[in-house]
Amino acid sequence: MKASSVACHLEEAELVDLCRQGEHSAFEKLVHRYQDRVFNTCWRICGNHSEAEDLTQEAFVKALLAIDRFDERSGFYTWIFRIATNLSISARRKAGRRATYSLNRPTRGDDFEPGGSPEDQLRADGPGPDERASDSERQAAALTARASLEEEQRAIVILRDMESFGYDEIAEILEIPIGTVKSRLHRARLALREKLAGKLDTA
Amino acid sequence: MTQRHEQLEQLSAYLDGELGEAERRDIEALVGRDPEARNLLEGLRQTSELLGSLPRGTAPPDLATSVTARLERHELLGDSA
Repeated sequence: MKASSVACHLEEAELVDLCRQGEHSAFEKLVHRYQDRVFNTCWRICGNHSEAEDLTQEAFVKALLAIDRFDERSGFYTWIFRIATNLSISARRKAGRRATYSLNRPTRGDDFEPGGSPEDQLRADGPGPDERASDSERQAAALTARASLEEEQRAIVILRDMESFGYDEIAEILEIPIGTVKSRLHRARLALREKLAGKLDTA
Repeated sequence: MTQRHEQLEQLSAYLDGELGEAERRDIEALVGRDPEARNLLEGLRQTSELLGSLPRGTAPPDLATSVTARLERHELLGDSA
């Protein structure tokens, strides 16, 4: 664990103790602390806004129901992200390739709900000035490229490049060796760089 | 696997500040003399930054209430989570 997170970890441990004693307000504090980051992780992995809401809720419910089995040597955040990531990867696999991140625009009948995906959010922002339109185009391309990654690579890119977890934390969350984090993340970025050719300033 | 290939595999970890001092110096030497490695590093950096710039959403404001209600239902009825 990083030195800067030790104080936060201690406070978390107190909240976890209170949760074990049945103190729901303590759990609500933990939910409030992590809900947006957990939601984003679920959303980006599964690709569907309403499903991400359900997955986020399910992750926190599972966490509290199993609070007695929580290993305090890890941070609570590691644990909740592990549960949320596993749930989201499973949901994404169940949805299969038809899922929300269609490479084509969604059509009626897709489970791609209007306003529900990050791409929709970009479109809703509107084109704006030329410079912003260019940024928006790059971001839309990045979303499409990221959506094409297989689940494990997508999860690792999200945990690192969007949630800024360290390699040691990602290894704990995904329960894989740090060497695997390093190689899988590098391969994912290489694949994304290739897919984004023409959108970046370098070849 | 050649030494250069192994070093190219370390570029993402270098970008993320996840290398030890000796490895970091090796990568900086490589990037200083090898234009292809330099270009790859820059592409990886831009890719990472672009992904980090993607829009964020926020969880429903009543999430904690929903979670608590679901837990209470579970305790009362023994529902599955």
